[in-house]
Amino acid sequence: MGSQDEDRFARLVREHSSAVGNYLRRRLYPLTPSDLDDLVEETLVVVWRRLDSVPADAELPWMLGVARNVLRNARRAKNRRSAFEATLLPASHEASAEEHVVADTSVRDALAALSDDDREVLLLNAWDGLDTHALGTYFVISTNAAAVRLSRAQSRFRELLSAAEVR
Amino acid sequence: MSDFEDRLAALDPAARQPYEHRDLDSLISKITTQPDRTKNRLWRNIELKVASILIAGAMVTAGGVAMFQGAGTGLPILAIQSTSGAHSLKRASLPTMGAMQIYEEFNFTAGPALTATTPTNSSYELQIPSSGSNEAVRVAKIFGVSGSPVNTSADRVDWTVTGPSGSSLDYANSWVPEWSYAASPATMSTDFLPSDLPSQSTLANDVQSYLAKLGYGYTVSAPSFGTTTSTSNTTTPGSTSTADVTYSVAVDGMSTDQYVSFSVDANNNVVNASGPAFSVGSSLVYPLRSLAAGVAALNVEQQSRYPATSPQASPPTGTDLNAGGTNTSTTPSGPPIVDVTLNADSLSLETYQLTDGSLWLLPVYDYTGVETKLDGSTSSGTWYELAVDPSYVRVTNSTTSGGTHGVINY
Repeated sequence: MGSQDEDRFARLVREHSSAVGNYLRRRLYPLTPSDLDDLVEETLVVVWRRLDSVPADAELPWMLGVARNVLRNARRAKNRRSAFEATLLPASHEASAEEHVVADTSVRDALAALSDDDREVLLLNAWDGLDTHALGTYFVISTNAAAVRLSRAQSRFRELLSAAEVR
Repeated sequence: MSDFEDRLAALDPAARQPYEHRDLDSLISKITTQPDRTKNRLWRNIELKVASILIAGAMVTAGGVAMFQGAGTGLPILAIQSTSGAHSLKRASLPTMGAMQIYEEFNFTAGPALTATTPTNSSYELQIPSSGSNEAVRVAKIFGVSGSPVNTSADRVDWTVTGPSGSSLDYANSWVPEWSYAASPATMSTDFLPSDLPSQSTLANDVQSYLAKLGYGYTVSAPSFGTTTSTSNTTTPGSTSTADVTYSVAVDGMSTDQYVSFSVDANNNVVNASGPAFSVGSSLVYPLRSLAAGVAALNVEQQSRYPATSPQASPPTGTDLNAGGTNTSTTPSGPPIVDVTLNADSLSLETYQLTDGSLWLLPVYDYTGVETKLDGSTSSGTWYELAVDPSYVRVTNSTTSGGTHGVINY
């Protein structure tokens, strides 16, 4: 690859590596920061290898899609029981236990009760900041379809949240 | 931003500590100046770390499965590296908690309902296909996909066979190898209602038919049926519904941590399928530790996770986080202690990789219990622990450092 490619890759890394790291962090708590660095690096290796495929108008969601596959493959490689095994050792710089204990349990319960698909699209929007266009790139669907999917997920989340707060 | 979006944002695990790579220049240089670098090394590194964190915490140290004489029985001793007490990871109680948990430290007590354990149980070595590319081609043909295998990862780990229609078979030749079939969207029937889908018994027969063709010899149990409807106007116009099932792979009637999944469309065509590629090889019968000893091991692992000398990144907030439980750690701001009484147990098989690269299914105890949270509410969960008698297991403590604070996972 030429210097133009290297320049573009360097820009992608500088602009989006934090978002990729945050994305991975939200979905998998590594033991240490170096574990997270490894996952980010693995994602960027794929980005570098497939630089020509990165769409200019949707770089971040495309990179998050790569990160998603990195996570899937890592989980697939270790075990196919991941849905049942979610507790991980915390990194040493995580927020205190107290902060988590006092967290919003209604939101947490409503989130946990959502389907995987609804939770994914909801959190991609709320946490990773993907708008409907970016969601369309991420899921490889149209913007309109992404908007519908997000809207439905938000509606279901609101319903579950209301139910959780009634209890 | 709406109220619920604010509240969601407040739960963002990354918000408190946004990710920043420590040296982007070096990272960029490392990736761009090593064009011949395959992903294999890094990938396996990640894989091992993830495995060590997420699964039942057994990775075998370099140096291997020491073929010592175990307690005079001639059984080989399994040299297993404990990864900071990761044996006892909790499985979320589904579906109410999903995969999202507040991290807590547990104080386990064996309840009276724990049943008597069997004295021994078989462990099984897995036979893995010797050639990933050949196996990819073989499995692809079973699903009607003909083509040449392409090494998509450039490291002879991941293989893909794509047929003329666009249907494909992926074969991941790492850990326990996994085959994964995906039909081309163009071949899928659309605009059917879930009620048009094949019955569960039809789907079950489909699975049995394919398993027979695959010929691995394992059985499946505990099916979980469902339906999925997805809408897309880019790949396949209209909506697509599938009937889905996931089975646990069973060996000698015991469930394992391996799974087989199938999805079919309204015309009973397989849309997606995946599963492990192994057959069961030799087996060894190991003595098991008692259920109570397993519970004790859970507690030991909990305590070792939070040594009193653990560094504290955040100062204590002054609130006593212990609520009635016995805090065995002197760490001042460690996680809250939650009492758990374990009242049910079962035996299953978990996959462990040994240092010679061989993969084994080893028996683990699955404990189910009720935890009483700080606010007095209760929820159920399951925890598991290697059941093999410790005298046949050589455990080396990991040098990996764990933290001291809680996280929310999902």
